[in-house]
Amino acid sequence: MTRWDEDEFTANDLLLDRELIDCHGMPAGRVDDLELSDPEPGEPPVLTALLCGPTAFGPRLGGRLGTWWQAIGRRLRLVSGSYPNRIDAGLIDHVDRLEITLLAAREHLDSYRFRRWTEEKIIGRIPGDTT
Amino acid sequence: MRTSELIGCQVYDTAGQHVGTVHDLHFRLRPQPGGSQACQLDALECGGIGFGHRLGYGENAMRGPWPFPQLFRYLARRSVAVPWTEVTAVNRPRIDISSRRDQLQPARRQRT
Repeated sequence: MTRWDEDEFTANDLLLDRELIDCHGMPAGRVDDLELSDPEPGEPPVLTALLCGPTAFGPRLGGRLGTWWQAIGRRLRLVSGSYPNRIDAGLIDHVDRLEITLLAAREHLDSYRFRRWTEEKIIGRIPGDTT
Repeated sequence: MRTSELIGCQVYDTAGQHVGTVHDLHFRLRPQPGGSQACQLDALECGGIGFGHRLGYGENAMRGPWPFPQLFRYLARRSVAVPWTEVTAVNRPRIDISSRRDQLQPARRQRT
């Protein structure tokens, strides 16, 4: 069950732009947007997932810059990948004002895929790399 | 639905008057039958303080530099919380609500 530091909060206070930390204490991305359920009549929407990456951040930026940002992210994703990178709310372990801790390892998260690709294909080929 | 579809929308009251721009979403934890907690969207915070709020000026957390705290505090006084139950239609960039602007509570009072 997710542990929350506060019972009432705003998206900007506790969720948006927070660093994601995986179950091993390693950084796993940043929250760029939130997915909410489509509410039944008379029911409020519920948080269902954290969204990460340029395809999540682009719409938040808005305007032409946001559209470009989103288009770049769309071209860099895998065809089979989720759109945008999605972390189910059930994977959230602890939420505080500084960071969000997850129950999963970052290797299993979509939000880490581009960083892993960069480490393998670019950083790993630089002489002296220790990753 | 995504938060980016709500933040930035213009809110209009039942008389068609402009209430403000959605700059934040207020959530509340609700216990579920299985013992878990659902993070429910409780209200939309509307007003003209969006940028200052994101810099930390909305809750008097920042002391300076002058005159930004005073300016953003002044703008924050006009921020209101629109309960989700009052929302009647979401057609980005417009959100219609079923109450009048003068019936809405200040955004920060609701959080205490």
